Amino acid sequence: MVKAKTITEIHTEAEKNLGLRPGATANMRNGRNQLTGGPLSPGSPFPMGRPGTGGMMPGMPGTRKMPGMPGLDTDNWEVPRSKSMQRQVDPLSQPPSMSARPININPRLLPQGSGGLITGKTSALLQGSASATSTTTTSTVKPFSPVAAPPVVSTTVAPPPTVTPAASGPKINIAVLNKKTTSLLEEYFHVRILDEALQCVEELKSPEYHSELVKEAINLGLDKGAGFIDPLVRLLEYLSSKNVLKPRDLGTGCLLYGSMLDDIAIDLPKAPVFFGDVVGRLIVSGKLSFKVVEEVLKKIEDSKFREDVFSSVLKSIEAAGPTGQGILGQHSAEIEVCRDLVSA
Amino acid sequence: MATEMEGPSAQRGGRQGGRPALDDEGLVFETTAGVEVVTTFDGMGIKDDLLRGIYAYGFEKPSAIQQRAVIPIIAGRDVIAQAQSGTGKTSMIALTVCQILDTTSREVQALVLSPTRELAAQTEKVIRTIGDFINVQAHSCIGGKSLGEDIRKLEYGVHAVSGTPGRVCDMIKRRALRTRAIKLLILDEADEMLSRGFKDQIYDVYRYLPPDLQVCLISATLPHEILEITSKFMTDPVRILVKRDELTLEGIKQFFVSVEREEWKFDTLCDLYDTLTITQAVIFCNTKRKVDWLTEKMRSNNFTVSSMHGDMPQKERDAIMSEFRSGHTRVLITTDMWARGIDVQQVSLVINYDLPNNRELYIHRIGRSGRFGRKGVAINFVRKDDIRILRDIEQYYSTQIDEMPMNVADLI
Repeated sequence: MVKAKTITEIHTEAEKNLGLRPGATANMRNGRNQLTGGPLSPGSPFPMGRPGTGGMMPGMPGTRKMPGMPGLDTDNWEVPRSKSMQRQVDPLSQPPSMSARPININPRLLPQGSGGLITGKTSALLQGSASATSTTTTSTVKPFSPVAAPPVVSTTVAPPPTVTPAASGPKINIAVLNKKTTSLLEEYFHVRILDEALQCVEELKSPEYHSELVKEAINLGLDKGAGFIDPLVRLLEYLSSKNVLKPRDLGTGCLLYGSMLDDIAIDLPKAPVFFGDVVGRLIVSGKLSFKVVEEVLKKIEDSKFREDVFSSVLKSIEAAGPTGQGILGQHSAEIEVCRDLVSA
Repeated sequence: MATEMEGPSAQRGGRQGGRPALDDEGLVFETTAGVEVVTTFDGMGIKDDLLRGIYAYGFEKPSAIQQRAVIPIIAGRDVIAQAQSGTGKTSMIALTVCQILDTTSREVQALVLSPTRELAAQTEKVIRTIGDFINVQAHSCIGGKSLGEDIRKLEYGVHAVSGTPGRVCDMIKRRALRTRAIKLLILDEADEMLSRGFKDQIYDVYRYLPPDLQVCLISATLPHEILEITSKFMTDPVRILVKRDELTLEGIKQFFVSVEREEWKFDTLCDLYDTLTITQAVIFCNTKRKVDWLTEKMRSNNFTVSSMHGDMPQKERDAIMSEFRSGHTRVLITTDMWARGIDVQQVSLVINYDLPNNRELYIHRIGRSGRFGRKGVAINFVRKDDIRILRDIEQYYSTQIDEMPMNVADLI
């Protein structure tokens, strides 16, 4: 008696007979991913990605993970399994695209790659044809503005008076803001493009969060070491000169960092000296009021750290030459107050 | 060797080509003569249950540093290892710590000092994981948690402690961390600890430890201050030098395409798409916003691409990486931040949609280390005002970047 085969068995057998990759017929079984053009992928996996060959389009939304595919980064000795792996998320979902509009057309049916030849685009590969005349056809392509930058939103929203903003209105997801902030700062410290950082900060559309951003910039920058003090100061000065950061944001940000310094310095003993340098430079460039120094010192409990910060501030201002001397002269009274705080 | 390629060797201004291992002081550091190389974990005399932990964690073959340093450390020798991250040093530390522990006792016997909380936490985690079958109790003193919890955990009794010098020093001074049974001190990334200002704390901690202490120091560079530590803390140390593979541009065909202006890059890329998908390609942009923009624009023009950047959850990045590694996806658009994770070594075509912002990033994007062979093609999209940067790169690396020929597909 012949046992009836299950649909899975039939497909597995078909895969074998037709030389398909294991799992190639999986889409037929569960009826999902109808639009990926995958189920009838012909023959050998290579060159399955060639456009126009009618094969499965790798990387299309919903593309299935094949059985037996190598797992995640098993050969990376130094890094233990990531904690983020605990959460079950569809690992194959495409990254969120900026337009939510899904592509509803089977890509197999569309001409690919050679479009430039037909439409007279400005590919540099069309030797010579991409002359000034042809540029008119692409004038609609903006140089690079993935998202239209808002026209300096910060002017319209009054920053809250306190360090902890009152929870009014729709609550911004702080976790998301934190993540985006860290990400934009990490990118800045990596590629150091000021304009890019500016646009990213503007895209946060959260002026009330800017003091936190300043604190985090200081925290991340100083943690990376002495070599990052320069880019950090440049970033803060730039954002400030573009009026995205208000003097209050800088001041509050410094206070926030200062209040964490006792803890931070245990793991980064040079933090007080680095921080003093940053504060000093911001004072010299006129972005920060000298008054902030006193406030910062009041936030620090450890007398050694207070001393380190203060002497570093002075050193940094003195290093600015005549300008620095001028500043020190103007603020002699405040300096005395600070000295008292340090010796207290 | 671990596959991760982190680049300080190149970042420190290294050009391609071999050079003697010079430290900051210009001294040549060499491995002590007679250091045995043991190429299997089985051959190292490791406890059976620890071996189980090692294999269960997925380790199969010891890395270069493990092959050389494990035996002398287990034998009780003081060891100076010059090695960078990405050489398997953290697991080497975990392995040796676990081996020397007597888990029938409840006292701290091994102390690992690291420059950052992250590294300290990671080390502790690896110790706990591979020491699972020998019931190792490890703890990380890294702050951020409640002090009380730290103290409770230490009082309960742990075998190994990992932490930054500042926290560990604090715990010792509070008498929460008892040092009398500590027999092994490991200073990980010692140069980094000094550059963060931990010199005093390291000396402080050392003063609290028993006199017959075994000390191991791992450092990427060996400046004077490190040598001072080694001479004060160590007795007749074994020296081990593990060079990381240097990135080189040798054998990589580098081309440029003049795109005159930014707007033309996109159409140029579309025309190259067929070529990209012959094999696998990584396309580098300078920023994540541009990655998003380009990805969206490619997709809306019906090109299949995947993309990755730092704003995505780790889980998603892992999945995208995994698909790319398996060959399931073929065109990946990304930023420099992920150049190292991608293991571009295996990718035969790299496109610099944007020229990188500095020379070092260039070699990280397209350079390879020797063990991955010498084939590959890099194509740079160069705007008129970028030519200067391209020539600078060419000169700096003494390499050649020609205009892309029409038959570029034949070269891939």
